[in-house]
Amino acid sequence: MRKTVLLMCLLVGTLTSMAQKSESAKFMFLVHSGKNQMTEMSAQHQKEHIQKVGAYIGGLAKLGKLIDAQPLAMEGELISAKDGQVSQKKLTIANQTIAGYYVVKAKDLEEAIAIAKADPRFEENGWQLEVRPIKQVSGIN
Amino acid sequence: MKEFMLFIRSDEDNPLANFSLKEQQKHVEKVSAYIQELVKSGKMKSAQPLESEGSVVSLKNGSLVDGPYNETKEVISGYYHLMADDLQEAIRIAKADPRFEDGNWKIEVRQIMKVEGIN
Amino acid sequence: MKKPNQLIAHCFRNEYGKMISVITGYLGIEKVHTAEDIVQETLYRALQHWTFDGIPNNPEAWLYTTAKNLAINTVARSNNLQNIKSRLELEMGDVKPTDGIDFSEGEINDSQLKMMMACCHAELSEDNRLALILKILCGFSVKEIANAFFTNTETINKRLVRGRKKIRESSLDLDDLDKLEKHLDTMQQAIYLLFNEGYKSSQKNIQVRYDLCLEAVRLCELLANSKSIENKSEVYALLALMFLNASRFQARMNSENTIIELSQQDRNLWDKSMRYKGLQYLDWAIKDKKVSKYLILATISANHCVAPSYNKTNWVEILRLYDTLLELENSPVVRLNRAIAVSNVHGNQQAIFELESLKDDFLSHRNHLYHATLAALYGDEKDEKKAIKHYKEAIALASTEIDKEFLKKKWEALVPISNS
Repeated sequence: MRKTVLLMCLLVGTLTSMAQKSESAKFMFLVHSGKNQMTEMSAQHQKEHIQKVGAYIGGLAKLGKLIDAQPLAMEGELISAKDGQVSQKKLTIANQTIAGYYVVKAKDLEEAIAIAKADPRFEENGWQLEVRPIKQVSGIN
Repeated sequence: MKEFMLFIRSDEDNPLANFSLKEQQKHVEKVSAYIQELVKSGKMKSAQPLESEGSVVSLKNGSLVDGPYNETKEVISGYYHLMADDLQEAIRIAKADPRFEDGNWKIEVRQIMKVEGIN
Repeated sequence: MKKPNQLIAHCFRNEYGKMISVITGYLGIEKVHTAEDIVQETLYRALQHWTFDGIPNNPEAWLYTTAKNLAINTVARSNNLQNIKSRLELEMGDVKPTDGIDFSEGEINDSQLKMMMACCHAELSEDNRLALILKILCGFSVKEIANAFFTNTETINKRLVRGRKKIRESSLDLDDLDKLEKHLDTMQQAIYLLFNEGYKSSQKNIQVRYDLCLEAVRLCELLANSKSIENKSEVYALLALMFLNASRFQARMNSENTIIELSQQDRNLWDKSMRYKGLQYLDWAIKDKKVSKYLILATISANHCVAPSYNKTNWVEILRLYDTLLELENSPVVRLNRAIAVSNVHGNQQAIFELESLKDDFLSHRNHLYHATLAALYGDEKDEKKAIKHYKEAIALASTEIDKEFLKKKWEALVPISNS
């Protein structure tokens, strides 16, 4: 009797954690570039880069893995609060590095990282992809 | 209408972690009302929190590595995907976020350069 | 009508206590700290989610589901660990089925009562009990508790550590609520103490102190709603007392934060809905015809609440009630309060006479109110010398600045304005 109860516990526990995993999670990839990489490339290089990344994104979309992918305008503003005082300043290359973002569906962080690693922009130096799970609560919403 | 990405940044995971439950609740109510107002007016396409854990993929000495996502530095705890007429309006909306009343938050306002053909 | 997606005033705090009670019931009383961690994490997640997704339509359900999942994962993890460590230990281990977390209304109420019983553990001092109740059942932060008790966070942390230890070690069987009635006295005492802590006049932390009063009322209502208590007349009496006293809470101070005596209060500021609730509970309490300390105190409070003015108060009735109270509890504090009724019925001299005969009792029972009352009575009798003597003693004994200031003002009003 006790054994059955125990087995049930473990089973339910495992099922719960499995349920959380198989429910495909959403991830945001923040594309970081130290400086504006694109402007330093030659026109030919730029074109190739766009084509490669485009193919990669298109592939993800076909697999149903891609929810959104957008580049961000390099100019922007940073609004900050310090002890209730709100101030605003222009973003510069020095304090911002996010060149764009993807929102991707994956089974878990591992798969998300694998997807990130397949990004052909890694053929160039200087890029970083920050892979962040979008918070989700299983069984709610 | 243009689209904007607003990254919610802070030095710690959540500047309100050490607030009392009463203060946290007040904060939640204020910010939630602000967001729901924006959703209702159609300005907010989505607002999502990000898990504090994650990973950074980068190229090191010619090979791809995934390291732990750096938590000691500033973190992005979530984002707003906004619709606004121009950058000025997006900034105005960002400045109205009541989270600025509690804790030292930063919001980075960036315009999305729409790429056609995706989605 | 509650607006959609708006939380009730103290949702986070109240849900904290509810969830800890239910999860502790599931994990076992010795894991109360784990339950606290789980609930802390749950509310932290709510903070992070709801500031992006907005408050969900059913926030309680969101919290309960999240807490449940976290608790189940915790158990699953520790089961796995145990499994690896030793199969034998696992089989001996006290593991409950995972569907045992029940967030139904009845279960939430019962769990909170059990938790209150645990917090009122016989071997704990009253200070420790109140700290535990506020932390675990009311979701107060350590800093808030320290503020409420005019002490520092270190002291409160020590009380909590000691309290949790006792709870863990306690053999108190929380599985049945039959013992509830046996512990009812202690719980009522703790609740009344909590209320009085909040009711003390203070310039500082008025909000958190008013919250203490409301929490005391909420906990007492749990007792009133429990099916495990048969005779509730005392619980109703305590609720009546607290509601009636709380109805005067806001009128006891003016905008400059100084104390206003009962005789000077603007009675229009008294909270009518609280008074109504208090009188209603008093009605229920009287039905059993069982006299208790709380019932007498509540009736005295009710007499004040319904009096059109200080002078038109039914002092004869109040004096009679104090006489009855003396038969139940012959304490110096009751006699002191009775003396005020005596002065209004039989005159100041009689009250002074009775208070002077209590002198020895109050030598050990260092209470500034004893001297403050004597000083006021002597002042009214134009015996300034004795009045000043007692004001001095009262000021020396008063523990809060606001009391000291108030006494100084009364003293200054005594001294004839010197001729310029």
